[in-house]
Amino acid sequence: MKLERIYFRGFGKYVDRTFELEPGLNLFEAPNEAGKSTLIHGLTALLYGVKKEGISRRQKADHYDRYLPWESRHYGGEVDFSLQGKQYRIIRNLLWEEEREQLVDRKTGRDLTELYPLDRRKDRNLLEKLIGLNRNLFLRVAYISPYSLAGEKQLVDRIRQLVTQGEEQDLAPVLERLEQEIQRIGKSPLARSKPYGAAVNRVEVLEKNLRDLRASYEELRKDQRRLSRMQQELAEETKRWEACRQRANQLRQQVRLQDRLATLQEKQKHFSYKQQTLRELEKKRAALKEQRDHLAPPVVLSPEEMDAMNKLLNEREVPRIRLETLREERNDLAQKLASVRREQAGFLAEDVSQMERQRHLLEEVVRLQQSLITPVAQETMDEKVTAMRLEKDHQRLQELQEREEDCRRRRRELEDRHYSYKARLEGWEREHFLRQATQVTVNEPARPSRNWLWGGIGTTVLGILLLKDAPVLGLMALGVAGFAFFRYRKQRLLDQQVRQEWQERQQRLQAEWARLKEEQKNNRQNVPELDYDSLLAQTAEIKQQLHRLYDELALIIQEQEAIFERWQAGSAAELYWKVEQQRLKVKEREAAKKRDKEYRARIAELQEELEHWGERFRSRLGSFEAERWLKEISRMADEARAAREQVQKLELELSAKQEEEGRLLAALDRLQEEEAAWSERLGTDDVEEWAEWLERSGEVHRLNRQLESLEQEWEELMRVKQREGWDIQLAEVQEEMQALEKESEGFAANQEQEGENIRDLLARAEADLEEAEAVYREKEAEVLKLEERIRTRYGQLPPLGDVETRWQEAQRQVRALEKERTALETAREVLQEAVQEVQEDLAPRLAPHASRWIAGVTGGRYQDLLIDPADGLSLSVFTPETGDRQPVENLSQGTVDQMYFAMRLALIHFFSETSGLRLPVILDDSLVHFDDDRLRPALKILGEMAQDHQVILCTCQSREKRVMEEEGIPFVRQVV
Amino acid sequence: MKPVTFVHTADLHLDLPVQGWKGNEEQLLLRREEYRQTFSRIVGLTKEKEAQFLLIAGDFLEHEYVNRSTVQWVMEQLERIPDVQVLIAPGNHDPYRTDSFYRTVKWPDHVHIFSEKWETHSFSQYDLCLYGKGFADMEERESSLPENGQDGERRLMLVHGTLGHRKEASPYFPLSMEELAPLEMDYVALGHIHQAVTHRLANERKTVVRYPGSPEALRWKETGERTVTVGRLDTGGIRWEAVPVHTRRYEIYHIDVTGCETEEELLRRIGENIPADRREAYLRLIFQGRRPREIVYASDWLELRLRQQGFFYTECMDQSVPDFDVERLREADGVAGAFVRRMEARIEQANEEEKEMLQEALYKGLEALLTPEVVHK
Repeated sequence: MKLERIYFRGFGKYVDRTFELEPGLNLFEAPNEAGKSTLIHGLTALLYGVKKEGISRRQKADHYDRYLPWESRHYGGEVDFSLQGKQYRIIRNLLWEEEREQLVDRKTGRDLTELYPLDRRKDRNLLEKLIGLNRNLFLRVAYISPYSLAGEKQLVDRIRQLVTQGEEQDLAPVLERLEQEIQRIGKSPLARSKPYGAAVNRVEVLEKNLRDLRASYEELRKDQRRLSRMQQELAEETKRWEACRQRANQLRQQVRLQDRLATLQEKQKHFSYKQQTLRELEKKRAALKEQRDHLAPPVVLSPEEMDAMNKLLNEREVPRIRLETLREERNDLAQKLASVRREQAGFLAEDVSQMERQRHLLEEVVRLQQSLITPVAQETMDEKVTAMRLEKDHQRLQELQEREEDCRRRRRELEDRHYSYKARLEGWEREHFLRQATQVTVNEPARPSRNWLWGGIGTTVLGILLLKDAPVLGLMALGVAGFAFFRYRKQRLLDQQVRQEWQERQQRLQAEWARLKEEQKNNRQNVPELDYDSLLAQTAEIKQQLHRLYDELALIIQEQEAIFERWQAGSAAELYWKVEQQRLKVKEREAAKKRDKEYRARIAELQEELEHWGERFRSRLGSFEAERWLKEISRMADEARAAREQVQKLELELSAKQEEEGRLLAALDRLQEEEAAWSERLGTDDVEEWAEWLERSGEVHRLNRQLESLEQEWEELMRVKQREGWDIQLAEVQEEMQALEKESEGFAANQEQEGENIRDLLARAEADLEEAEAVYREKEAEVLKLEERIRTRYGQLPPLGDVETRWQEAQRQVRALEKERTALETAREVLQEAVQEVQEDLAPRLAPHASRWIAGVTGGRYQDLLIDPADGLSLSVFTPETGDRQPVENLSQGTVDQMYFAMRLALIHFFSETSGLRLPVILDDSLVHFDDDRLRPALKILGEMAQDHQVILCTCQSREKRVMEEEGIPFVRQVV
Repeated sequence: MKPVTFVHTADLHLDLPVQGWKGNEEQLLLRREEYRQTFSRIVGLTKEKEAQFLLIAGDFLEHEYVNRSTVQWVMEQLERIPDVQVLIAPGNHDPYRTDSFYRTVKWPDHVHIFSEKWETHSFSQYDLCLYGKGFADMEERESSLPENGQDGERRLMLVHGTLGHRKEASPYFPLSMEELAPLEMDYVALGHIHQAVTHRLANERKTVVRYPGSPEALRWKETGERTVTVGRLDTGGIRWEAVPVHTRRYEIYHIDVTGCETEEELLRRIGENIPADRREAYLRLIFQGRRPREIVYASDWLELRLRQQGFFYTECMDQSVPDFDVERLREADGVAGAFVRRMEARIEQANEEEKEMLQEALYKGLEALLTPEVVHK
């Protein structure tokens, strides 16, 4: 490849600038910043464009803006070059918005652009397709820079491609395809959009599901274990319950037997008792009959006859005995009556009413005598005297009260006058004081401020006067004056305040005085005008009068109190009431005296009448004494009444006895008739015998009645016996009892606790049964509940097997995907290994090229350059001194530069040989670090290279030109 | 002596997860139903054959998975044959544990579940003595035998366990023909092995010892017809026959895809290889041979097409290899050669499990490296 012309329409500093390049070595020698680097960048930009490489989007290269032309709106240009016998021109507009590229065959003028389609970045990659190197590779190969090529994988790949002569295609797409396959499956279990992630997720979901479900099944199996245990327990409980029931039933049967037996025994007893009763009844009947026959008299009296006989026997003696007694009593009574009449003849003759009258009179006398009083004459006199004294004191008190009233009135008048005069005196004194106060002007307050004022004025004048002759003193005086004025100003304010207060006080006093004067004027109109001294004299006199009056009043009051004290009264009214009381007392005493005199006259009158009547009974009554007589006469009246009553009573009794005697005589006649009739009936008149027969008849009748009742009872029992069939029943009972006894013998043998009451046993067995049943029921309920729970729970669960089937399937899917992915990864891995294996073949291919130059560049010091293409192109050498293999980076910088230089040359050479392309060699200050000793061989080699390759050597130094001239290396000098 | 007819089955594993299942939800439901149908068919057969006994030699209900509703359904089925003595000897998958439905649910009166101890049941009307025993737990390493019966009676034995010619250690009730022979049983009804198998013991009665196999396939190994055993004891001794009862069978077909350039061709070839009467079965199709290197079979698509063509259920397993000339590539320079050599070296060193994956990696790598664009359907 030969560059022939570079034309910049605009690129950095170059605008419309053409460089014509020659084959062989072109030397651009110019100082720094002259534009050498711009030229190299411009060349690359025109060849490859300004898009960033290695990314799929269209994006500006980093240096795009750096080379925007300074003075032109154009950005771009043309490059003419020849390649493998053809002549091309690349025309480029680099402006981003107008970017355009064109490839023209210069020989034919044909536009070849369309032969190269646009890629995604809208780039046709013209040069890359022409020479097989992209910009990066072109620069790495053609551009000699002092940098390592380690890490340059792309370069190594390209070299490898060249080595394998196109038999190998690019491996990147192959690996990419495998990677795509791996990516399609998915690497991460988290990427759920990919089959692997989805499958793993499915497994996880199913696994969780499965785990939960398994746990549920396991739990249910646990429940089942429990259930089976409970069922076993239930079976045991059932057995127990059954046993209890049997036992209870057996005991119940026994109890029933026992009860029945007891009932039968009771029944048997009952029948026996009844038959016994019947037998006893019959026995008793026979006994009674015998007794009756034995007792029966020759004539059995009927009950009516018995009554009549009885009556007769009872009555026949009574009338006779009674008659005798009656006659005796009648005689006694007649005697008694006669004696009473004799003894009480006096009283019987006396008129009782007269006696009563005398008694009334006596009672009056006694009453009157009791009402008599004997008044005491002295007492009556005393009462009268007291009344008079009271009257007198009362009058005196009235007088005293009037005087007291008068005294008090006068005192009031005097006091009024005294007060009036005293007020006038005070008014006069006040007026006098005010007059004095208002008329005084001496007390007006002083004004000390004036002193400062005058002082100030004085010192001012003095200051002014002194100012001329003694200015210092003058100034001092003026200063003092200033101070005085200042003080005056302050003091004046104070003075004004004091003065104002004084004036206000003065005004108040004046007003007060005026008011007082007005008042006095008014007062003087009502009372006579008096001067001050006469006023004083009069006031003293009034005072004396007042004192006298006070004394008089005290005396009056003292006397009043003495009267009150004497009569023990609190007030005049009370004293008056006492006077009235005393008057009433005196009046009553007079009335009593008169009444007494009347009573005594009446008593005398009555005594005369009574003594007249009592002459007949003088012996008994004695001399007249009202009370004794009253008692005695009352007693005499009672005695007279009693004698009369006794006589009457005795007379009545006597007549009653006589009547009764008549009746008794009649009854005796009738009895004799009846006895005669009975003697005839009974054939005997022995009354004793009658009585015996009567008694025996009664006995017979009683026994007959008893027999009759027994007979009835017996008949009743017989009827019952017939009806109830006692004999049959008894036989049946006995038969059943025998059977039961036989039956119960069997139980008795089984009974374990013989001593124990069968009923207690039954009660316990029933309690056991109840408890066993409760336990059984409870257990049964539990079992049913658990069974139901298990059934329900199973019903709610999906088939575990299905879930596990799906889970296994999902797992298989994951495993299949993993296997496929592992296969792909393994394929990729092994492919990379294979690539590595092939790459390792590169080293011997590159080595001869490198070694060809290394000896020349290092002046024979190093013979071999070892290339490791594993990671880009790492270089190492055998150091001549030690024979060690060392990376070139361990050598001195100068040597390293030489190594890189040799490597570049080797690459260019290698590319030329393998691809047939003779790439230009571009150096931009690349040899700047070479010292002169190293530069010379390097330039020699460049000269050698220039025979086959176009060389563009840019330098800022002149030594290259010199050395080349010295060495006779042909070159064309170019101007930047 | 009255003749006695019995139906002998085992290993139903009701409610066990369907092993190696790839179908959809609906198909799974259907499969679950098919297991029930099979049991229902067994009950029907018992009735039809007028058998006096239904012997179930264990692994009847899958202990860990069985649902109460399944148990309820089973009991309802058994109610259909109230005159048949149903005898169940629990196995290692349905041991006679306290948390088993065998113990917590009231089973119909004509159903007897053997406990963990040997039980002897005499049926004098048939002059028959029946010995049975269940598993006490998931494992039972120590085996035992029933006591010797009386002479003359007919004897049946029902148990779940592992039978060998000689006694060998096994966690599942190891039994040997040696020790069974002296018992002089007429028939020993076993369960545990899912493939039907019969042994004749060298004793007087020429005892028949039989595993009836699983009556419905539980995994892909259990292909073909699934049966129960119908036995008859009469004067002539024991006679038996295997009666198919499966609802749907499992079948595996290997299809050589070599020469099929397109998937349509492959579909045609599948059609040609599978008889029409197998389309109702669960089919596993294993592709073998070489396929064009640019084709990867999409099993979902194939299964869909096959369903459209009337196949009830298919699952495709591609074991074919892409048509690479590995021999030549192995010798070649460059990356491909290096890759083949390295992969083959790895395959050689890998264990069986890895080998498969590495084989796949080899072909995937080659596809990526050498095929311009692999066709993915």
